Amino acid sequence: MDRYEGFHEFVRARQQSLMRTAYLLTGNAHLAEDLLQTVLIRVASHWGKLADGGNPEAYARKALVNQSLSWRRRRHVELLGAELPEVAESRQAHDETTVRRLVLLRTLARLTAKQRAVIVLRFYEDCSEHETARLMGVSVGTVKSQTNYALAKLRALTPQEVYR
Amino acid sequence: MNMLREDLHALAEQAPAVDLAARAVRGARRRRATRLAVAAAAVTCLIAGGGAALVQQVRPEPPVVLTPPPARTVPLPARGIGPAVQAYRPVCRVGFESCGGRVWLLVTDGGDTTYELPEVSSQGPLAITADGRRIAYYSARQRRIVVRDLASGRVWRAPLKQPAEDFAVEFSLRLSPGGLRFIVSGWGGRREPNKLVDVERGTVTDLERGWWPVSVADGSGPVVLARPYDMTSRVWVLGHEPITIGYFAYDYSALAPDGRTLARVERSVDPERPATLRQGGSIVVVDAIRGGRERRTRISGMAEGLHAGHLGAWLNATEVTMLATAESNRPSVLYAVDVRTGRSRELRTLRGAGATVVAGLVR
Repeated sequence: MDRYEGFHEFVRARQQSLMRTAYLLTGNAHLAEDLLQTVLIRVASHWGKLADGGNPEAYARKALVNQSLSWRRRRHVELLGAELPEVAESRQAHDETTVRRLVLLRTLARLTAKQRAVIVLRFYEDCSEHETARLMGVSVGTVKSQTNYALAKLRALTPQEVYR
Repeated sequence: MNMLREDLHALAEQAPAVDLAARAVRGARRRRATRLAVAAAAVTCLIAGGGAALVQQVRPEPPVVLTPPPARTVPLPARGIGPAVQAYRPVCRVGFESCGGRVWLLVTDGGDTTYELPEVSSQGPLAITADGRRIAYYSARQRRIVVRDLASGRVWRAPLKQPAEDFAVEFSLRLSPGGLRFIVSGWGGRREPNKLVDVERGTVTDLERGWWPVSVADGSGPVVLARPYDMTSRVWVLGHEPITIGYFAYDYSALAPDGRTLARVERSVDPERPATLRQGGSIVVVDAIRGGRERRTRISGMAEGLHAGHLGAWLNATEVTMLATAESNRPSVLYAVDVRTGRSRELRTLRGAGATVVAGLVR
């Protein structure tokens, strides 16, 4: 029996969703791919257990968060933000949206690893505070405080203070 | 915070498309080979085994259709079919073109004939009611879920149009006992629907995102959803407060006839011996409305080599159906398990080794 039976199907089904989370956690396509590949190797290494009564998806998501925190602690990975275009007052609405998102990408890169992770988990993954705490391996209080700090920073660094 | 959510989703969409499965397996094999080499450098045969595995990896296997074609297969007639017990789709180990034309095959109770279901989308869900009288499936042609009564041939079309992309990633179709009410859910795609549909009344109700469908009753009966967290899970009988159980679980039975009892299988986990992970197991019963203490009973009476798997519909107040699977190519077996005693009795052996849908099974 193939040790990795079912793993290819799992990756095919979930890799794009995981990749999106990895991209938000790192802010960089190449780093996101490296991060996800590292995590998927771990998933494959434990596939026997995970496929048999475990939850590969939950494991992979938790590993993504932990690995990204660990990378940023150990390697001081420079997460690049997008260069901001000049904003003219007469921009169209869709341009404003684009600029706002570029600013967000850049601002996310300025957050600490934990702050970035709480923003991604709470507002992209829609995790509860409790879920976020479990995924990050911290207390609910830490999630609350990191979320507050992160949102305050986002609001301060975004020109129009849009994220109210 | 909606704008922040929208912006994060828009940014996430910029993530490049990747295909990392093969790379991850190669990496895992390398890790494994290294671990083995370090741990047992003196044992030559182990290292040779690892090498053989690596060589096997670069040499693609030919497609292997695991399920032999049944003795007699005909297209599903318009009407006059007895209750179905199972549907399956023969599996191909490697996704080559020769595997592309496979259709779902419907197996009826006691019949030697299997019926082809060409209308059932290969990418969409298929479900069979617990009594086997109706099937529901996604029809790519009609772009909706269709419910079909096998005996009369009557067809109900869901009042909800859905693109095929709703079923491109992960999905679920949970039928009521009568089949005319269902929950259709999708995860990982763009839309991630989670809808309660009543084809008889022509209604569609949005369910909360992130909750997994467990059970839906006919008419206005209870709807049960579940949401697993890392170490705990929540179970929600709509109209009541969700309960929390101290275990990670997606898989439950349908709601028992008493309208409040759910069962799940708890497997024995031995991290040091992966091959024995599914050995044994207990059936755990919980009050889905009040929560409180769970009742665990060791499952007995299963054939050697089979492992407790998914649960399904209840046969009576104390017996719930359970699928038991084997590690080898041996067929899976459907059992009835008494939740009070744990004693199991065999109902039938399943056919086919590919994707399998069993009447009333929750998976």
